[in-house]
Amino acid sequence: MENGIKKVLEITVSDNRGKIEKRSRVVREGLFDWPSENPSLVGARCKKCKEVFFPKRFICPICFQEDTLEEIHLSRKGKLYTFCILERGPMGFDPPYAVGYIDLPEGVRIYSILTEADMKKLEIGMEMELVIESIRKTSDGEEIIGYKFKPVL
Amino acid sequence: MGKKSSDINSNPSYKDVECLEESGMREVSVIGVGMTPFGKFPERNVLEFGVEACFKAIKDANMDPKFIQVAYAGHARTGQLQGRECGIGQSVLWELGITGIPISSVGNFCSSGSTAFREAWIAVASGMYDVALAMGVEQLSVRLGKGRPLTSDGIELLTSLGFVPATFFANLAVRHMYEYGTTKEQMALVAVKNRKNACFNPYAQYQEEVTMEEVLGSPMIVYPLTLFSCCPTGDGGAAAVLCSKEIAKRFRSDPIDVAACALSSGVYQKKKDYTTLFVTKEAARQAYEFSGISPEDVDVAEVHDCFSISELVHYEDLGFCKKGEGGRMIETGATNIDGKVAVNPSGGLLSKGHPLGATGMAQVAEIVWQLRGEAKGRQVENPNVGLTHCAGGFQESLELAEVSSCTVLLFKK
Repeated sequence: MENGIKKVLEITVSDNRGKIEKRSRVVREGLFDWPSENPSLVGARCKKCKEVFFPKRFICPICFQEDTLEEIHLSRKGKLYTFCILERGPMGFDPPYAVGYIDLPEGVRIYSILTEADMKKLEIGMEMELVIESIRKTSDGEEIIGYKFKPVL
Repeated sequence: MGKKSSDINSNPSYKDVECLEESGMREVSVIGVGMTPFGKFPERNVLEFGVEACFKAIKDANMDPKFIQVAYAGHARTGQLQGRECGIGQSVLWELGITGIPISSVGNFCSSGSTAFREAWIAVASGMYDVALAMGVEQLSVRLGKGRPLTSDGIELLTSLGFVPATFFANLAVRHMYEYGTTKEQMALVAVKNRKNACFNPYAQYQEEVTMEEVLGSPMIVYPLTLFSCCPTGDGGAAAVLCSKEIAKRFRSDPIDVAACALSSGVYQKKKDYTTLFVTKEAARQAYEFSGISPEDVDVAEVHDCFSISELVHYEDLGFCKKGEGGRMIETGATNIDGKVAVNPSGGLLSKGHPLGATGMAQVAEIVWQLRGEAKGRQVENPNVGLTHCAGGFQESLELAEVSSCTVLLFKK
């Protein structure tokens, strides 16, 4: 894991005028801790109704009151609820890759890219674990860092 | 129609009828429809589809264009693809000499056209106008990234994480197969049936049959959906003229009544059940309650078969069969043209293609032709009640969410 972090953090290169150019960025700030040695997804819990949300929200849609949400770190492991495998991908993505939904113990069912795209190795109900890594590269070579779930073997 | 069910997840009660008289609204009829052939026409201008469709609809209504008092234009991607966020309706009607009246755009994902129809219905039903025009247009053949799955509007974060509409329905299909034993063959039957129906629809993009083997053997796009299980994109336009029922017979002897126009948006639900579109159940509940029509009364329906699995789930959510029975329903032939409820006699999106904003209005045209008895070669025998259903767009949510818009429109002779 540590090596993985180092690899991503070191993807900064100099352009021909010696200026340091950032060559990677997270897909959206605030979705997960990064950089971190033990990253997790960041959600919110309502202090009043105890409902958990991912990602963080502005306001609890159930209680509709100010200041009831607190930031929480979500479990790194969950169960695969459903999945599919893209053999043709949208611009910027390199198929085949799988996406699906993961049930986390906090009661959220969340969208995620999966590290495994072999149908034979994916099964509804299997245990999955969070990883933070590059999800794609932009046309000018910038790595986009996002979250994925991988099967726990 | 504003009435809200106390528990959205319970089965809708079809007995609880809120009828038209109580709502204080007027009865509305459709007196003219028209559409262009659907297909890929990159050499044409998007406005031409609107001009052709509106001209045909107004002629079909035997009406002088000066009677049109208000108009709504549905389109979903003309802003992004053509730099026409606004003004489609004005420019189309300008060409037809219809100027000065209130005209506005309606954008609501795959339901843009049917939402424009609903706005026109409200305008007449409210008593503010007597005659209204609704149109839907789209031209997707000019988009970049052809041959790749179409991305959706309005979900920047999900799109940046590799989500496309096909993944939503492929994920749904895998879960539906897991929970209800729905098979790939049952899903493929949707494409086989709809492509067969389209052989008799001169407006359809594809007018040739496909076999089960061809559907299952076509290239995989997003497992478990193959190429022939996904609707093609396309270009086209469709339009309808609506007026108060009171004056309808001045124009045509066979006006078709609008029994209900319901619109819903994605329903929030914690750990949503992925085998149901609650957005469809909610729009259907509103439409059935408003009209007093029940699912058993529907003779012919045009539903949003964007992917093969979608049509099976719509059977369930529209109340045509029990939950989980969609796959078995198509196997019995109940949704064939000669079945209990004919679904997608036009060939559906799988055959016509899906020019987003035009789709909902093309469904209206097909149902009006069916109820008039004008659908040559694909005519359902003497139908009395018709339904159209559109559902599309997605919430910007990483928690499992819903399709963002859904219309259910009901028509009767």
